[in-house]
Amino acid sequence: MSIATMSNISPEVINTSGAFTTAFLVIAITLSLLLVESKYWNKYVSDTLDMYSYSALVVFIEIVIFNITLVI
Amino acid sequence: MKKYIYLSILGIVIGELMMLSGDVYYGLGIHIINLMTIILYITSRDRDMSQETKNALSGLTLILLFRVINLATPKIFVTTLLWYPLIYGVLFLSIYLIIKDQQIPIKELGITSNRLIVYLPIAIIIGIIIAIVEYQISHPKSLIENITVPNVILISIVMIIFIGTAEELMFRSILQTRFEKVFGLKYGLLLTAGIFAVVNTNYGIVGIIFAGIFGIILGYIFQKTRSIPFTITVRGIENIILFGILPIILPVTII
Repeated sequence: MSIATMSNISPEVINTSGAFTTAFLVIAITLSLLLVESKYWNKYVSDTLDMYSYSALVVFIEIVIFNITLVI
Repeated sequence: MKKYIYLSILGIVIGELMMLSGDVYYGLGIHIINLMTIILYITSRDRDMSQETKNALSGLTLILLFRVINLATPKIFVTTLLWYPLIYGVLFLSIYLIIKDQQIPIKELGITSNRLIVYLPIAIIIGIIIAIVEYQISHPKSLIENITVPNVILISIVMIIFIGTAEELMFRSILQTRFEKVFGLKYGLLLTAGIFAVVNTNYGIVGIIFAGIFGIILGYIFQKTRSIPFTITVRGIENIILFGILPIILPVTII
């Protein structure tokens, strides 16, 4: 209980969540591209989207490494 | 603007409760929608929103992002114990970016060595007591096979450096301090403890109540000491004993 991580999750859930995260990464990058030239763009939006994108990108790299190890 | 923070918290609570009840996909969907809504909201209402409100919302997105990272991180290693650093390593990156972007001072984060000689023994005792109480409620399985020096060192590194530090920075140093600026000391503490309760439990209502009380204790300790090493030690020691020592030396359900 004292660990916030949910650890009893099935591989199917992890796979689907990985797909969600990849889609989320694409959305975050697309939002950045759409907003960067608009009047809504500011440091706060930039920082927030950076935070999401970097985290999702690292998870995406972990997923790629995992799939490579599965193939090997 | 506070109304929107309450709505976001409600979204987190609903998402977490759905996951707790087994509807992981719905819970994840709610979290991602909540996350995207917060981005769009702060984008569209940027000018009429105070810096404190934006920082509080940013703190909340850290919780949502954590859960997404948790569910999406592949189990590259066979043991659960080695899976945690992959999750919390990414979380450290998000925490670092929030601290850098919001320019949160070290003192506000509670990173201090003041009175550590006094605080550490107290933190260890509190951690042991909470672990014993919680073990009687939850009876978790051990994350190590046996009590050997390498295993104890490994679980200590994971529980203190990764889980304890990352979660305490997330809940106490960032979320609680952001909420205190918007809602005041009392409500800041209670709201953080409430979120801590729903995020930190993996079984029923008893678990939520216990985690809520634990969250209030940790939050109160942090308010009084403003020392994050204190709460990290409580969490670390508690988890080492709860997930490493007690299930091996007392495998039966009753102590």
